[in-house]
Amino acid sequence: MPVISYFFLGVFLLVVQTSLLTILPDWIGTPDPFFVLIVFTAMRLELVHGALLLLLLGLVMDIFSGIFLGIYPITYLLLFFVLHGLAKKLAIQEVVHRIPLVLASFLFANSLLYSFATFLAPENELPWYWKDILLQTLLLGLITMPMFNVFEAFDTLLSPKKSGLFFLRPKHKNTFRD
Amino acid sequence: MRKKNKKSRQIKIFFLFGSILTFILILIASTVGRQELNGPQRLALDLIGKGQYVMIRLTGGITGIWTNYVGLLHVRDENTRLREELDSFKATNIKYREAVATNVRLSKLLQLKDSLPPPTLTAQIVGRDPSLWFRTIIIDRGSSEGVEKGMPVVTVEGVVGQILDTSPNYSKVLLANDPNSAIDVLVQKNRVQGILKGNGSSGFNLLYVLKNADVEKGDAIVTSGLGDIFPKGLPVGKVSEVTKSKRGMFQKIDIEPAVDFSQLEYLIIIMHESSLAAQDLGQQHH
Repeated sequence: MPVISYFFLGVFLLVVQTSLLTILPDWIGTPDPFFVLIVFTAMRLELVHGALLLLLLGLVMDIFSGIFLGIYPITYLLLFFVLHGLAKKLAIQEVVHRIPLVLASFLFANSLLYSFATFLAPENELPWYWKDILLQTLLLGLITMPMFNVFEAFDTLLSPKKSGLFFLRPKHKNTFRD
Repeated sequence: MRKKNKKSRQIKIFFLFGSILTFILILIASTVGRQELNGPQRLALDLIGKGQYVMIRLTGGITGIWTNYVGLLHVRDENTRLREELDSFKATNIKYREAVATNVRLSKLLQLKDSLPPPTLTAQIVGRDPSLWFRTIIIDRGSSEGVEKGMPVVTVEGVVGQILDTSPNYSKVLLANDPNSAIDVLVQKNRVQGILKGNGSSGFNLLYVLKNADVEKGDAIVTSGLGDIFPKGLPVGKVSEVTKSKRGMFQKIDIEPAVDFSQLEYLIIIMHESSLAAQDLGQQHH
């Protein structure tokens, strides 16, 4: 259930990001809420669910970005395993670490994408766009906290115990009848 | 007994994880480096393309309402000015119609019909590549309308790119400013040939032009027609800088594109006549 819900949320964010948010002027850049969701789910979901979700979102991203299929699933899975490994050793889930964590993950994921694209087509010289990367990183830093709050709310909605939706709440047994 | 159950459960979990891992590995191994979408990916492109289309319509609607509101301010002066302009354009339009009619007649007379560009299809952009490393867009025309991989995409200003992948109703276009794009071009004034590569941002680089070739700032660059992808003579851009270093055989030439890639909205796909014929045949069968 969480995998499917997060998958549709991811697809919705991707659609908004590639259509609605592209009307913003070039100098502002395009915010990347989809990537914040990637980091959020990588930290929140357990191993199998998280890996499956990021694999699916990577496959969808492949369709809408780039020319080499397969590089997004690999990048997101690697990012997922790195974050999962770090979460076991370090307290990266703390609120104060959210922004640096998202920014570091963004740089890591983009370094991987750059490396894969260069490896798959070495004849095409791919420049490292410092200006765009810094602008995108800044934007990501600005939207991280609000987006994390939105995703937290979404997560609460999904979790049966805390859910505001009556049909998702667990049905308690009537102990007196037993 | 309990120990045996625990062991069989562990084996089951091991098999489950093993199967999932194998499936993922097969999926990734069969996907990496491929440049063509498979069936499910085409379906996904179609479904999400529809979402993007709705969003673009929504944005257009909101922008339209705002523009209408702003347009109401000073509308009387604007109206008078536009009426005057309209009269002048009407007169110009009549002249152009006459010129086009003459042109068509002369073209027929000179039997140049074969050299005219093949039929075209207009398309709207519904999505842009969200990554920093690639320059692709999604358009609202697909294989059901005869769009095929490799077809050139242009605007009135010049070359935009070529079709990279299609689903029945949507297509992905590789923009000419992507570093993975390569187009055969020539310098219009002296027919010097080169390969145009995207530089990833908003410009191009013209490669493999020898140092002794006469290329100057401001020279127009057009498609050469080689490779049978782009028709000959489509405008690509103008030379913005020429650098001749001491080392190497070739010049370093920067090109300013004829098209503003950040302002793209409607595009023209130049169709292959063979694909149109196949589509006609398909429609006849139905």
